Amino acid sequence: MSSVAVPLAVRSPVKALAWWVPIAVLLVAVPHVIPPYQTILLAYGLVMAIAALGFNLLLGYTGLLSFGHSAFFGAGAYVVAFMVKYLHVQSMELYLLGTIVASFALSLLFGFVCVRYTKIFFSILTLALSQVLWSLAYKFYNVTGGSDGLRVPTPTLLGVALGSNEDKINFLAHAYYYYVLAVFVMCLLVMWIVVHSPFGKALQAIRDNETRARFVGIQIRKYRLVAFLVSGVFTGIAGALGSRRRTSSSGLSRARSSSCPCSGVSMLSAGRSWARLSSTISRLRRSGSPSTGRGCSA
Amino acid sequence: MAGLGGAIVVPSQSAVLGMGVDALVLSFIVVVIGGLGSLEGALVGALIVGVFREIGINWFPELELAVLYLIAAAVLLVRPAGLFGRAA
Repeated sequence: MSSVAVPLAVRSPVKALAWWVPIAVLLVAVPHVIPPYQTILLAYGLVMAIAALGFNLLLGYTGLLSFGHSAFFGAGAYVVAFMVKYLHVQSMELYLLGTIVASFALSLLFGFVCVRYTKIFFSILTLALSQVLWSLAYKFYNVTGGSDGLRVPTPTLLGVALGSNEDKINFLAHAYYYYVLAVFVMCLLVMWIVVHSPFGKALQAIRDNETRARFVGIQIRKYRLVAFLVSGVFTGIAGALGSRRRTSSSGLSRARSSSCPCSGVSMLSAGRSWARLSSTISRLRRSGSPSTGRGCSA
Repeated sequence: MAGLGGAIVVPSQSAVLGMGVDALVLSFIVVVIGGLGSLEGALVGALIVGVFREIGINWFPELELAVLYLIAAAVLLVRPAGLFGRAA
């Protein structure tokens, strides 16, 4: 069962360094080696990795399968788009701040409702709630732009704006890539600390044996809620960063064909394919997991 | 049976590529509301979904889909196995 979450600490530091240093060097060197298109793709991969970090805390460590995480991803993207549309904010740092606040509030709401249940009940409830958001985003054309999405212009990174002559592709493949990389590394560190803290161990205890964890004195519902919160905020951050890729601009010709400038709708609806993927994962996991309890522990 | 459903719906709407997704989503909501593995649940769920969808389209076109998912979420909250589900 616990094969998903093998702790990194069991490796020796030297061996760990031998792995991490080349990867870090590779990630830093990438924009200067490979073409911009691949770099932008890799930046989007890093964004997805941030979302996966959050998802893994919930599925891998807490044992809760959420089908509704696309809601936080979409919320992150839409908060950025709304900040542009209504508040005319330009700074990426403010975007991230707003996203963290919004996804925190949203996952508090969703989590409060959902963590009363586990297993399939939890999954379907998260799916239903995220689909509420999806249908709202899809139908309220005046506010969200429906399936057209909202346009997000190039933001300023750390207060530095894109020069008027500067190429958008160049911006996305260098400055923005390093920005995403930095956020990713920060998220990785935070998640590492969370997972290796007593809190993380408690989550694993809850996943492995809920009854025993409660007997030991862990407040299961509270811990699940906090895990849901952390997970949701991580996914929200990924959504805020991901909203950049779909930005339509004269410099970014492929965005024209993808037709959705900030397609949070497609991100929200991506939950369906995500759900399909996660159901496969859960099937794989269930084959080796002892069943603990009836699932709905109200 | 699903194929039969498709045959019945075609005279009232034209056959298009994405028509299955619509039916799939709606029947998913029906099953969630009614309860997994329950015949009377499917009937009652289908009635609820059909009536509320038409009400939604009539008065709050923008909330048409959201209202269905909200009902599903509300039912799941009160009875996680659905209205007629046995696992609760």
